[in-house]
Amino acid sequence: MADRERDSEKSPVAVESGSTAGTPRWVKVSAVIALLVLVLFVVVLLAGGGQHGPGRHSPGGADTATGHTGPPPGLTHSQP
Amino acid sequence: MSAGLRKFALTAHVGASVGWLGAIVAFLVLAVAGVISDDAETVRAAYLVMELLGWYALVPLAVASLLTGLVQPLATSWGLFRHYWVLFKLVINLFATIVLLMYTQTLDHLADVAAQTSADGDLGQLRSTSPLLHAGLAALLLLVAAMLAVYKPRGLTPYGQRKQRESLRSRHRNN
Repeated sequence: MADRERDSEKSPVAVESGSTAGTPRWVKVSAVIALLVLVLFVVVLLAGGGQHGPGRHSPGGADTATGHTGPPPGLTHSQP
Repeated sequence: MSAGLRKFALTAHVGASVGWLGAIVAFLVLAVAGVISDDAETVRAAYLVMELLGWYALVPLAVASLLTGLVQPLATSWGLFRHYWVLFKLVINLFATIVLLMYTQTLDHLADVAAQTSADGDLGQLRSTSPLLHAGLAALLLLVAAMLAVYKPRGLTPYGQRKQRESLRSRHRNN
């Protein structure tokens, strides 16, 4: 508990004192995970015919889109 | 920057970031309702409210979190590009904000479909797992960012190492 409290109050100097030069392991692991997720996303995108967006997300397809983009009318405004 | 202003800036950043995460959780509840609810009105309402929540809660809080996060280097000595954990948080924040801004088109589209679907219409036309997937991933990313902020894992970027060397050299020279 005391350790946790001390950690939450870390200063930049306290964090880096005694640290060695070079890229830390957690950075390398995170970078590899991010790269894998990116590759997975591209593969899924390509498998889906390269489509990603409003038309693809709805089973109704793009035909149902009205082309409305931007914030909806005010919270109290009701459409006629 | 004075200590009072520094604390105010940090409070604003934490408030916006936590608020963003909270809004995502509320969005997740609506996304689940949109997928599993049997009531047509509830499903339609869920997608209509998701659009409002997106534009009037998620987007403002995301932008506020990003902007107040960019102010932090002025308020503290952590810098923006010196430590990997700060850099990772910036990348996560920027990525999540850009994806959210792009995703508002999908929210507009889903709300349009919901507005056009009659109460006894085909719910299959309306239901979408996309908001669930995007909100789930966003929550995960923001939790990772929160963990980075709390644990502050070690690691200086090459730029941070150079700055540290320069700082040590000038301190040595002054002594």
